[in-house]
Amino acid sequence: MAAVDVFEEEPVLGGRHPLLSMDNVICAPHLGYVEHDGLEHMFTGIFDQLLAYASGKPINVANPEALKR
Amino acid sequence: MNITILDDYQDTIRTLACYSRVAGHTVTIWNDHTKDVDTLAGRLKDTEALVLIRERTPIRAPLLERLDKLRLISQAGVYPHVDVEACTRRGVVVSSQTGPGRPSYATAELTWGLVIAAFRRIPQEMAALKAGKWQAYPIGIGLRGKTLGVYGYGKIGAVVAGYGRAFGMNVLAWGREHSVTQARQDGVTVAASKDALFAESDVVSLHLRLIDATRGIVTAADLGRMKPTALIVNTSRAGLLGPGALEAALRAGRPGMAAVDVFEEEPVLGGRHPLLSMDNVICAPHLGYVEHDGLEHMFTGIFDQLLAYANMCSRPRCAPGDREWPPSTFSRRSRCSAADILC
Repeated sequence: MAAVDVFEEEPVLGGRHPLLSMDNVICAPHLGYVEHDGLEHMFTGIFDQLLAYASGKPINVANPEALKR
Repeated sequence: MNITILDDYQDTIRTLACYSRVAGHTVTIWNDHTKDVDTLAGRLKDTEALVLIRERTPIRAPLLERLDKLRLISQAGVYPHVDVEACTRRGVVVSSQTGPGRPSYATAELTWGLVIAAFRRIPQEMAALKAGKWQAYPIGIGLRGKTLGVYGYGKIGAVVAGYGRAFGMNVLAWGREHSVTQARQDGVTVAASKDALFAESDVVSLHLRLIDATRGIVTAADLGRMKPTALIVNTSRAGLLGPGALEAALRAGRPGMAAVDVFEEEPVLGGRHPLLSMDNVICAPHLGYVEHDGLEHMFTGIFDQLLAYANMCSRPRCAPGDREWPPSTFSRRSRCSAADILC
């Protein structure tokens, strides 16, 4: 058996993936992190980063070199 | 001995290891279901030992009166579907292992599967994916930090409460005196009242036996107290709710979701049940106890009961033609027809 939440190419549309037609496989559309409280938390952070940048003090910067340009 | 097993929908029993225990007997297995007395009387006319899978088929007097060869019913669990008095009158022995034993982990696990499936809309999303769509439903809800209400803190309820704790949920329990006492002993918070359990829980899971005192115990008012985001899970018995009460409550928006493994009339065939067409309800075909290890355990006991009955009759003091058998074992004496058949 297999249970699969992730695919090589996402999204899978039109039901076009060989695993979807196998009776011993169950497939979900990458629902792992797709959950209300998790997204609330995630987007709180994402919007805070955005507001921080807008106020001139960027946070969580992955590429500080970009700030010098 | 002619043994008949009814309602083996998935043709599982012959695949169990314990099936070898009845290898020396003639076993007939039916995979379909009927409650029709004429049909059953025909199927069972030569049956000496009838094996039942839980409560799938009612065995009442009108049927029993037509089963002249029947000597033993061997099954497991409670037997509201068997007319035991009629069996006694006819000298049919009813063997059923009940009482304290291990919890049905199978049912507890199925319950938890349904909780997660419903909250994350897994069955709906899986069907949508096959139908060509990607993340087609409103976002799912996680369990951590939510409140699980266990109504009926018995063997299964206690296991489910443990799963709730493992998932970081706040667990509330409610039920009769025994439930409340056991929950306190296990350190589980007891709800302030039944009303509070329904009002405060994000998931209400029912783990009550269906007896006269619990029939319809979950009322329309109870359901109406639930949050619009809450889920009710029933892996116990449909009769705990009044007829149509759940459908009406869901249409009214409280609770918002339901996960159901049990129906008033089973099996549900032809997709004919109103819950099956509701998008906020997930339904399973009474899979709770339907699980390999549990059935292996159950049928080991069922076959042992059957062999014990057969062996009792092969003891020297039970001679062919004896009319009283075995006098010391039953409070009411049975015809020794068993001896005629088995010795």
